[in-house]
Amino acid sequence: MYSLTPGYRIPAVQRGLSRAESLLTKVNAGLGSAALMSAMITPPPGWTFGAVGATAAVLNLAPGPRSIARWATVGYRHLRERSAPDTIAAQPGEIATWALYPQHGTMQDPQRRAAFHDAFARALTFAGGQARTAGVQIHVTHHTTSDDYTDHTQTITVHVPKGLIAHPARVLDSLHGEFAALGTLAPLAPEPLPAVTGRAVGWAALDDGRFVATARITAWPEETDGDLMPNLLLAPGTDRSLAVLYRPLPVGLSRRSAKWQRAASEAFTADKVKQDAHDIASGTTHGALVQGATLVDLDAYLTVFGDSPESVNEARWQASLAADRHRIRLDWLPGQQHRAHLMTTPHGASTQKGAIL
Amino acid sequence: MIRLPTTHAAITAPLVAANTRFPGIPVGRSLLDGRAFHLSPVQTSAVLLPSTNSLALGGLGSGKSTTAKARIRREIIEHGHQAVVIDSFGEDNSGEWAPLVRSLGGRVIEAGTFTLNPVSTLFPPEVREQLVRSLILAVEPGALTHQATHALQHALNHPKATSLNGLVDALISPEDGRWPAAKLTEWGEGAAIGLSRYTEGSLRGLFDGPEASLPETDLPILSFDFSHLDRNSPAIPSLMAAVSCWAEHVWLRQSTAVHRHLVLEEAWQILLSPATSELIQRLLKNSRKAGLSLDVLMHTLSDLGEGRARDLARLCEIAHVGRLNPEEAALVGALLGLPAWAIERISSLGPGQAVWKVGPGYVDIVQTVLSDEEAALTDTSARRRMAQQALAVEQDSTAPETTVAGPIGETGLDVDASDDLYAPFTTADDSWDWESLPPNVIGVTGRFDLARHERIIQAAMDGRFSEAAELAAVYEREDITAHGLNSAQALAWWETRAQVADLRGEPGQAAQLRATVARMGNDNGVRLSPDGIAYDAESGDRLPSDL
Repeated sequence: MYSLTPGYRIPAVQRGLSRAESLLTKVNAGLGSAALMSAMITPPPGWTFGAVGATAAVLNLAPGPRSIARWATVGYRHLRERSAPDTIAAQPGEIATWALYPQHGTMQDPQRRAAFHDAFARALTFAGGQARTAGVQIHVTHHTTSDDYTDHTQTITVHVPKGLIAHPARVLDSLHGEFAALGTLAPLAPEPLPAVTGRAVGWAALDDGRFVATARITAWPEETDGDLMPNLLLAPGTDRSLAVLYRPLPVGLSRRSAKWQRAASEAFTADKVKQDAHDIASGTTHGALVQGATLVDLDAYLTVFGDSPESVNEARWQASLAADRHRIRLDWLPGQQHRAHLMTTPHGASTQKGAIL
Repeated sequence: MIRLPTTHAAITAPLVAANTRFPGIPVGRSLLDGRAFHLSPVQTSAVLLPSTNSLALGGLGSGKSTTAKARIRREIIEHGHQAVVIDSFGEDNSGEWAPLVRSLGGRVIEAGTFTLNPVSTLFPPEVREQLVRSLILAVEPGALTHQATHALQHALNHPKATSLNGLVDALISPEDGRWPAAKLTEWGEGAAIGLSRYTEGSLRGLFDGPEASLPETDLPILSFDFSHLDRNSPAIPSLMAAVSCWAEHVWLRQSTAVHRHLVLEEAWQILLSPATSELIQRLLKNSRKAGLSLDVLMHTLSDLGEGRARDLARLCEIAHVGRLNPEEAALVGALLGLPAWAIERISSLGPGQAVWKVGPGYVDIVQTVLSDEEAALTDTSARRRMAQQALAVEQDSTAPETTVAGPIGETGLDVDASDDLYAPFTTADDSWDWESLPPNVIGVTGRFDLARHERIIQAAMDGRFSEAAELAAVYEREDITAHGLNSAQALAWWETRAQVADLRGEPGQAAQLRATVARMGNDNGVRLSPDGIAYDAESGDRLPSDL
């Protein structure tokens, strides 16, 4: 399984810093070097070393759950997560949404399915290559309404952040052509996001009377025949939404990332089996990059619906069982339900990377 | 967040369902993605579906007929289409389509009860000739030489040729035309011999009627019921020829419906005969122009032979294939050009499920969805259920007497779904009164008039067997009229007749009569225990033993 262990596989620097974070980094570096310079000109009194050391100890070395640093962090997160900031899905940039349906029978025929996946991979690579740095986001959603019959709604949304490239419209039009080759493509105006009227740890109530529970997909099956999604989504099921947010990397960034990833996995692993597993994974990645693929960051979310708290809990249970069957691991995002559901609507396309849900 | 190569990440794209959708009536639910499957071929764009003919394949119990019936019913009700059904498979002495046809206000024409006159003046002359030629070809494939054709043409112009008998006379003793009569006689011999099968031979009674009536053309549905005929009967090709001629030249020209369907049930026997398959091929090719869809139902294509099956598969743009064994599935799949994944699933389909191919590229697996009413109208397993019930009755009747005496079954106001609710009533009186209703509708079983039973037994004991039999028939008819066909009173006469047969020294017939009563089920008011004692099922009262 690919596991989601933040900070290990993808170090924070590589994950990307927000504007405020990079500003703080620069300010910190500037202040630090200024202090160092002035200390070299006029050595400070001895007690300043004591004061700086004590502060550093409080900030960095305070152990245990009751530490001031932890208290401050958790307090800030509570404050931050109390409400859903509008900015989470309203990042400035160009955005376009389409409804996309592959040709009938594509998923059932192994050859046609493989060809479809190849074409989709090429579209992702193409999208990643449109800018010098990573930033283009492609968000794909699938929504099922199940009654006597099942209705499927599939959307694909492209978000080009403001300032990434000079002519985002050109990227959108190029990608329109790429996606049109995948199946039936039609422009779509997404429905407005339903407002949250009530919340609990495990669910949120929406103003259209539905109760939702959303999970992040944190692990995917080790290997499939390529029919994971048809098996998961076409099985006779209930009302549910699944969305994947792709952030393709440009070629150069992909290669550097693969290099660091390989180095990190080789560095501190004593377990021989784990080492070899990493080796095979990096080898596969290496092969794919040689073949012209690039790397893509993906975030996936699953939402289940119910018409009461009990029914949404039941739906959540059933979704967990289905996920187990397909070797998918779900993280039900406790305490974050009041805004997690937006990730399975087309509105989730412009979510900033690293945003706290 | 997970970082993967794009080639690996692509399989996580949740783009799995298509949105292709055909216009028209609902058929069922797709088993591939759960969406509703609609299809009215005639409403579909001609670019997508150049022809509207459909082919239904599938083994026994695969649900191909049920699907076809439901489709025709919905087309008739929702879009006002018309249909003609050639029904050659059924049970209980009536065609499979009979209940459906009656429920839609159509007409069932049973082969043998309807005499068609192929040289009727209602047909235009060229149709007459065509029809007579196909009748001759159906029985004597080599009879129509150039000379014979001319002799036939000459005879058809004879004023006597207004019925088949007249035509044969005109063939045998022609008058001089362009050619001398002697030559015409010689040429016409083969044709006359062929036609004599219909006037004097085994196929008498089908085409030699003098009158000129034809079936109505304005009914929503019309069924030609060939189920009485043997499957290999030579009459079937001839009847098919007549029906297809009628359809082509009378029905299609006169009917005003927006679209017409010709349904061929068990079509292999029609398509195997060279004479009729040619007619069907012509209908298939002209169907688009004529506003006609042919719906061909058969078990599999392998019966037809390679070339003909290929032709049929090419002409039918719509095909649905129910469960077949793997070998046949592979063959059918190759002929229809189905993808491998669909062929694999043909052998494991359940009842009512079929692989559908619409046009060149659309393949789906669809579960036909039926309403309760449709399920009742299309049910074909009544005979099997009856056999199961009969077994249950026999097991019941071997049970000890104490269990028999209790009240059995519900008083049946609920209707068996397999009953032909639209069958014409056997009692032909229009007056309505309580007495003419079957007893289970009233809810109280009437008492038995034992004196009449005793009188008959007495007559039989005295040796007056014929008088006893006549009296029994008269009384039984009275009881059927008064209480209903399946009433206890009517059934009691079976037992009396069995006793008469016993007295006459015919135990075999008696046993047969008793077995028939036992097989009629336990919901009829009378139960017979092994010792011949009758019980009233509702009250559990023991009926008099001399009954």
